[in-house]
Amino acid sequence: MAATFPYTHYACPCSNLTTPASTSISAKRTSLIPVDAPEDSTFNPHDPRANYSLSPLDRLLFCDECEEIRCQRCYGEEIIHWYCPTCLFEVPSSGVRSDGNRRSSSGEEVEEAYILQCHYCDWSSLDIGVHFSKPTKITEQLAKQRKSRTSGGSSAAEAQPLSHDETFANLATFYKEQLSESGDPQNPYSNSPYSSPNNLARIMSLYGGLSVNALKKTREKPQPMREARGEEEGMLICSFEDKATDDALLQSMQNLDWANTTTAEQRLSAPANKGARLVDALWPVATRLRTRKCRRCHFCPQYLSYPDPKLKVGNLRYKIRALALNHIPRLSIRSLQTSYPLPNPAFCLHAADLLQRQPDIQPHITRQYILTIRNPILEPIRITLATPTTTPGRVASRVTILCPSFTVGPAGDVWDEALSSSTTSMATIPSGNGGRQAAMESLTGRGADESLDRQPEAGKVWERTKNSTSVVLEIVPGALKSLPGIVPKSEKELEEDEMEEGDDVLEVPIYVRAEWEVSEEHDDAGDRKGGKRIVEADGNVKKEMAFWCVLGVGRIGEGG
Amino acid sequence: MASRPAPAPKRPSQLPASKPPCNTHPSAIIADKAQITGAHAVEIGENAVIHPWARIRAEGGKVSIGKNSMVYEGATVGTVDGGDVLIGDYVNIETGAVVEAKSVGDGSTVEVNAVIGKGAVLGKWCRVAPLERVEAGEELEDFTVVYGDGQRRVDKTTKEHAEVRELKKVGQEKVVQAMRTLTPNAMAKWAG
Repeated sequence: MAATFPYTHYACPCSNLTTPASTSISAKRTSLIPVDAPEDSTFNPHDPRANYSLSPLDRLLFCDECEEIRCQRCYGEEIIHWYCPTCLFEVPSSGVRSDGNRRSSSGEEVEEAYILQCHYCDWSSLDIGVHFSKPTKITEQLAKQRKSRTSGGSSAAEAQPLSHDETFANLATFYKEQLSESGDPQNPYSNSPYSSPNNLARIMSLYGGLSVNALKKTREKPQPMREARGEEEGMLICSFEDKATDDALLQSMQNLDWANTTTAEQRLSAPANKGARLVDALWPVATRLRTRKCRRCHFCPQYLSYPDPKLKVGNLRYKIRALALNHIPRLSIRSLQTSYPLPNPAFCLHAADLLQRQPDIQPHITRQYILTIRNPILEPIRITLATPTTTPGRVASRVTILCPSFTVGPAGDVWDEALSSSTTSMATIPSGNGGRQAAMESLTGRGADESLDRQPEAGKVWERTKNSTSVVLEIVPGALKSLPGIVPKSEKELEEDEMEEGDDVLEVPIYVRAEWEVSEEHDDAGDRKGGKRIVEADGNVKKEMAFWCVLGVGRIGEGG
Repeated sequence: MASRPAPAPKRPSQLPASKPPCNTHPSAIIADKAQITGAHAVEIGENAVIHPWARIRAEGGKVSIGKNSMVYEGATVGTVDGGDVLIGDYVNIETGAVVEAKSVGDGSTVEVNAVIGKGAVLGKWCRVAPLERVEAGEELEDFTVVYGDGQRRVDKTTKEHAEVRELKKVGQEKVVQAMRTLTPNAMAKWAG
C-alpha cells in the first residue's frame, strides 16, 4: 500500500478478484457495466489477495500487441548481455558460457611471465606463487593451477578429506543417478492422461500387461529419491576427529591478527574459497559480470522494455519502452475542499513533516472529491466509469460518481496546442487586460466569471483541460464500528466486527472503460492480429480498453 | 640574486623570507613555481624533480631529497618546528601529501593527500595509500603498506622478489625522465 494518500493502484488483467466463478479475462472486458450487478463482479480491494494484482502506475508496462496492461507477474525478464562493471567491456554470451560469469582477462607484466597485481595495496599473485604464461584466458590458467594444487595435495595422502570440487562432482553424479532411477520424467508422458509411467504401467498390468519385462518393472516399487550416504556419493562428513588440522588452524589464528582471517563475504566469493579461513589461503576470483535485462510479455513474444545495449552512453537509453503510463487513462483523486496542492513528500523541508499524517476522514460526513482522468494517447477517448454503490469490505462507504460518462481530449504535442486557433480549455488563453484578474485566471485556470465556490452538479464535468477531465465523486465514509444495537451481539457477529488491518483505509474500486477510434492506417496492432478488427464505414477502427483500479482516498477515523 | 618572498610575487616584500641555502645537484629539476622556504639547508639529489607548487619547508630543520625522487604539486615536505626530514632515493611524494617524517626510506611512495606525522620513520619500499595517515613518531618497517582505513600489511611481493624491486626502480627512473621533459627548470633561481 502506498504510504501517502491519495493514491491510485491499477489492477492487472491477470487478477481474478472479481468474484464470479468465471476467470476468463474476456469476461472482465465485456461492455457490461457492472453497476448493474455490483455484488457479483466487483473488485474487492480489501481482499487479502488484492495486493498481488494491484500495482501503482510506475510498476506497470503495457503490451502493444495484446493491448493490455502487464504487471510484474505478466512479463518475463531476459538477459540481453553481460558486461564487466569496471571497464564496461561487453562479453558475448558465448564467452559467458565458456568462461563463466566472470571477467577472464587483464593482468600485468613481470619479466616474461605475467602476474596479477593490485594497484592499491601491492598484493600480487606471486604471494601465492601463481604466475601466468600469457595475459589472456586468465580464468582458465587460474583454474588449471588450482586443480593441480589441490589434486597434487590429495594424491599425496589418501586420508585427506576430498576437496570441495570433487565432492561437488560426486554429489552431482549421485543426484543425476537418483533422478533417472526413481523419478518421473515429466515430459515424455505429458500428453497422456496418466501422471507417470508408473501409473500407466500399473493400470496396464491390471489389464494383462505387455510383456514379462514390463510386469517385472511394475512389481518393483520404484525407490523414492534418497540423499547421499557416503563420501563417494558426495556427502561431506564433518568430523571432530581431525584434531591436528583444527589445532594448527586455531594456532595460526591466534598468532596472526584479525585482519588475516577471511570474512564471510570473501569465503562466499567463489567455491574455491569456501574453506579458506586465513587470508593467505584465498584464491583470486575474477570480477562478477553485470547484466542488462529486457522484459517480454508472457503471452505474446513482444518486447515491453529493451534497453540500448550500447554501454558507453552516459544515460541508459531504451530502444523499446512501453509503459502503461503512456497507454492507459490515468486516474487521480483529490479532495474538493483543499484546492491547494497537497504537500509532496519529496519537497518536505523538515523531517517532522514527513511523519505528519493527513487528518483522518470522519465517518458519515459527505465529502466531495475531484477525480481527474488524464489521457496519454493521441486520440480523444470516451470514458465510462463504474463503481459499486457501497465499497466492498468491512467498512461500507457510499460512493457516487456525479458524471460517469464523458470524453477526454487527446494528448498532443506542444505544437498542436500552439498552432490550434480554437481552444477547448479554459486554462490556455487568459482573457483580459493583463491585470490582477487575468493573472489569477491564468494561475487557477478558471474563467473570469466563475466563482471559486461553484457547486458540483450531477451529470456535468467539473473541469476540462486539453488532455484531462475532472469529475466529482461524492463519498460518505462508513463507520468503523457498527452502532451498538439493542440486541446483544452473538459471537459470530462480534467476530465479524473485529477490525483487520487495512480495513480503515477508504479505498474505492472503479471500473474504467475507455473507447476510442483509430484511423486504419494508424492501427498497428490490427495488422499483427490479422484483421480481427472491424473497420467502420469511415475508415476508423473502434478500440476499447477496460480495467479496474483502486483509489486510496484516506483513512477513516473514529468518531461520528 | 634577489630574495623572493615565499607566498606570492605581488606582495610587497616587507619581511623577505630568506631563501634557504640550497645544495642542488646540477641534474635536478626544480620548477619555477615551487616554493622553498626556511632557514635550514635544503639538499636536492641527482635527477630529482620538484614539481610546480610543491612546498619544501626548511623552517624546522633541514630537508634532503634523494636521487630520482619526486615531490609533486601541492605536496608539503618538511616541518615548521619538528626537525629534519630526509627523503630517500626513488621516493615519490604525491600530490597534496604532507610529509613531516624524520625519514622516508628508499623506494617508498607516499600517495595523494596522505599525511605523515612528525618524527615518523618510514622504512624502505613502503607505500602509504591515498588519504592514509601515519601518526607522529610511528615507525614503519620496510615493505609496509598502509591502506584501507589504517590497515597495515607487509608487501611480500616486493620483499621477496628482488626482480620486483629492480622493476620498480626502473619504472621510477622512466617516470622521472618523463617528468623532466615536462617541467621547465628554474633551478637557477634556487641554486646557490
